[in-house]
Amino acid sequence: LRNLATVITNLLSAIPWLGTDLVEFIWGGYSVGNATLNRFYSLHFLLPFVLLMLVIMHLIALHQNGSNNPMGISSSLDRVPLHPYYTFKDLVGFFVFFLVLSIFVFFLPNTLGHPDNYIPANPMQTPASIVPEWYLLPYYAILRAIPSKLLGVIAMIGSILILFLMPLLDTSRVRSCAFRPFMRLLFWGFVVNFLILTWIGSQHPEPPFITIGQACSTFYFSYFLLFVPLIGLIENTLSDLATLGSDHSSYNT
Amino acid sequence: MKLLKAHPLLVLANSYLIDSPAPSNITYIWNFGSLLGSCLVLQIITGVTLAMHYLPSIDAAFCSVEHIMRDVNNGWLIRYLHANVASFFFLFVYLHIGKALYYGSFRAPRTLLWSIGVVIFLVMVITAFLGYVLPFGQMSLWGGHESPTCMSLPFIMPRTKATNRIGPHNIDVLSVIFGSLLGDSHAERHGNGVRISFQQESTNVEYLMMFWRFLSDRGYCSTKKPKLLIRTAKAGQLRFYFKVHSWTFSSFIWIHSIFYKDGVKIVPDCIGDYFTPLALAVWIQDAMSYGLKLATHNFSYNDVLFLCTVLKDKYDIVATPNRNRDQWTIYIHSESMPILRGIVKDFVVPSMLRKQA
Repeated sequence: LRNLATVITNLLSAIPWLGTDLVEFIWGGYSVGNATLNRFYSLHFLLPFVLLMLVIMHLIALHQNGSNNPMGISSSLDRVPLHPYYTFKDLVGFFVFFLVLSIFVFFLPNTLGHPDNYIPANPMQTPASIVPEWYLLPYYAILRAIPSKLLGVIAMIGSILILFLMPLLDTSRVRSCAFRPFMRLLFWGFVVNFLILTWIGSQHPEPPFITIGQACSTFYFSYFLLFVPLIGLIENTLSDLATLGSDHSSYNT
Repeated sequence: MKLLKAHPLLVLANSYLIDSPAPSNITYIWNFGSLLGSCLVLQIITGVTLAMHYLPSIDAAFCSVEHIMRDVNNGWLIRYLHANVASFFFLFVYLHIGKALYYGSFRAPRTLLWSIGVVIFLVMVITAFLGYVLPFGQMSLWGGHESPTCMSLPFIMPRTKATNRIGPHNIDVLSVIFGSLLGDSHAERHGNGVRISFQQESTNVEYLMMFWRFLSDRGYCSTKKPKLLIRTAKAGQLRFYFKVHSWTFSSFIWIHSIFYKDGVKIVPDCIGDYFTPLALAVWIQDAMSYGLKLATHNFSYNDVLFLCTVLKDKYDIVATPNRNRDQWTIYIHSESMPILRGIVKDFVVPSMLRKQA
């Protein structure tokens, strides 16, 4: 785990000019040590409360327009009060969640973790490879897909930040994929690609996996930068052609 | 009911949780928002509880985690909940984001909602990473045997220039390097950094291979197996030997600067700090020619005397400098041999063990 801390914080050293200084600033020394552990602990305690505040902001922003719905159209015509309709509907999910969570906590508590964490390290033996928790593996795979350290870090951070651009990149006039067959196909392609990236992140960077990881990372970014805008335009055009001259064409203006 | 709509705080609860007008057709996919909220609350409750028992120090972190697992009432439950809810937290957030992507929830007029959501995800990733590091003391408990920090970089970035891979080096790696430098290996300036060069006669192949494997496993030298080399020695004899050298690291420069004074190898003053059993084992295998003598031909009398003092101070091994023509070797007193053998036996290759006996 100390490895992981070193590896991930070391990534910041890829930043030109101030990289090394920044890493030492974060470490609070020349290596991951007591100071690092203390500040990580302090921040790990603080950030959930920052999250809480962000969640409240998220809810306020949600309250402005209310939830979206599977049709992707305005739901002002037919609304129901949250309680009791969705409080009880959500309870179903809560029960399923607590049931599955209990199975993990009581019967498989370490399944999602790393067995290495319980093995005393042997100085004469190869240490196990460095793997983050399963849920960060896709981003780890993107990081490793690019041989250059700096570009790899940029790609990893960019893969999250690119989500910010989604409102700008989506050119379609239709909101929900329920009415967008091409986009739906692509969306599931993206999901499968994401799962493959998760798997690649858990593998040693050896020949077949490196190439697969690079292909999947390329698809990850092209989904946002290429396919989403392009498919939107294609679908718009097709719907224009289909409704050309009909009464419905006024919808598409 | 009237209270719910009049009280300044309850009116908020009412408008967010009770009377909030929701679309009539939303499915179970819309459950993840509230599930994520429950995850956050669970994580904060279990996290704050764990924080009451956790000690953020390299020496104590692992012990305190074990203490939570074994001694704290239901501590195991709290810790396992914290660890597993983290996984579900991310599972749900991926599904939540997936929902937004599929149904176009990110589009106007909900762009602010979406942007705050992305920030939340980013903060979640950072928090998860920080939390994953916290029990890291566990490896430290086992005598500072945590795996080296440097291997990770060539591992991720195979084409990063070697000199640019920064340290730090852990105590095992430093032990092996310091131990070997006390023996036959050399630190040499190379490019912008320093590399460790190491040569052994073919009779010591087992030891050299251990040395090479130790370094190559950790990304410190080539993974190609060293080849047998031949040179002609004095009197036309053929000598068979192996040579290994590490990659060049700028983070080795300090090692070079403390070991070399005006191009001559010396024993650094701080050697005691790095004189671990592993370092001792490496040095012994390197320098012990036969029986009780340690070859230290390249050091001055004062250096050799200093090494004897360190041996005595750290391990209570009695050793004295011994004159061998114009050079000095270290003679280990026979009554100290069992101590020495006990210290290094875990780190010594079998063939060397025989030589020692």
